[in-house]
Amino acid sequence: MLNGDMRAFELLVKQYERLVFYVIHRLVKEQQAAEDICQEVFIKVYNSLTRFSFQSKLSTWVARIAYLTAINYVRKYKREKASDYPDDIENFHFTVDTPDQLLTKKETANYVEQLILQLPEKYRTVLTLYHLNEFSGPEIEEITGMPEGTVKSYLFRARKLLKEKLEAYLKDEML
Amino acid sequence: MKEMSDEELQQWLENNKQQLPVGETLSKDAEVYNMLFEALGEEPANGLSYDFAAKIARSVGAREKHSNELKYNLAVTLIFIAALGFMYSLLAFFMPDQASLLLKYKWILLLLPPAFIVIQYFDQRLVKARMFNSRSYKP
Repeated sequence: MLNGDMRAFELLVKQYERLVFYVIHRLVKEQQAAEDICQEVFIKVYNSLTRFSFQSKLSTWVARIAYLTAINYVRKYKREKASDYPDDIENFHFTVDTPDQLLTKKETANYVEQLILQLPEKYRTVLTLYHLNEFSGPEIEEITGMPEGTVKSYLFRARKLLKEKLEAYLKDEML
Repeated sequence: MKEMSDEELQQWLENNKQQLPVGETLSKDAEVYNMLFEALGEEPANGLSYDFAAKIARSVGAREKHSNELKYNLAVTLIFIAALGFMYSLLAFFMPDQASLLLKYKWILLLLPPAFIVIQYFDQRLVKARMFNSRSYKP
C-alpha cells in the first residue's frame, strides 16, 4: 500500500469502513456530512500510513483518526454547545417524551438510537466505541484521550440513564 | 434472589451474561438492561454506499497520479534549466563567439522553461483536474 497499491488500499477501506462510519454517524447526524467525513478520514489514513508505527492496533489508529476528524467537524459547525447539557448527567432530560408518536414497540433499538443521539457527544462516543465497535476501555482511552476511569464512568451513567428511559417507555407501551 | 445493583447488572452483562444460578430468573431491571445492551449493539440502519471503498480508492489514486505528474513536470523543468545552463557554459568555454550569438536568443531560451511550466499547469488545472473531479468520490 505504501508503494501506491490502490487495490490494497481499497481492501483496507472495505475492512474499516463500518468502523469509521459507526464512530462518525453518532457524532455527525447528517448522513451526507457523515459520508463526506468518512471520505476525509480515509484520505487522512492514506496520507498518514507512513507515520503508522505499529505501536497500537491499526483499528485503534483508524478509529482515532475518525474520532478526531468527526470532533473537529462538530466543533467547527457546532450547533450544540457544551452548556446545552447539564454538568450532572443524572439531571439530563431527553426531548423524546412521547415515544409512541415516534416509534412502535418493535423498534426499541430505534428508540434507544434516538435517545443516544440526544446525549452529549462524549457519552455518544464511548457508547459507540464500546458497544458497536467493541473496543475495550484502554483502547477507548487511546482513541479519545479520555482516562479509562472516565470512559467507564461515562458508560455506566449513560447506560443507567438510557435504562431508566427505556423502562419508562416499555411501561407506557404495556398500558 | 438478591437484587443486583445497576453497577452489578451492567458488569454482569458486560461479562457476557455469565450463567444465572439454576432456578433464578431475570429481575425486571436485568431484563431492561438486557434489552438495552442488545439495542446498543444494533448496527445503524443507514450505512455507506456499497461501492464506497472503490470510489475512495479511485479518488485517492487520481490525486496521487495528479501529484506525481506535478512532481515529474517540476523535475523535467529543473533538468531542462540545468541542461541549458550547462550547455551554455560549455559553449562559452569552447566557442565564446557562438555563445555571444546565442545571447541574441536569450529571451526565447529563458522563456522556454516558464512556458513549459505554464502549459503543464493549465493542462493539470483545466483539463485533467476536470477529468479527475468527474471521477472522484461523490457520495
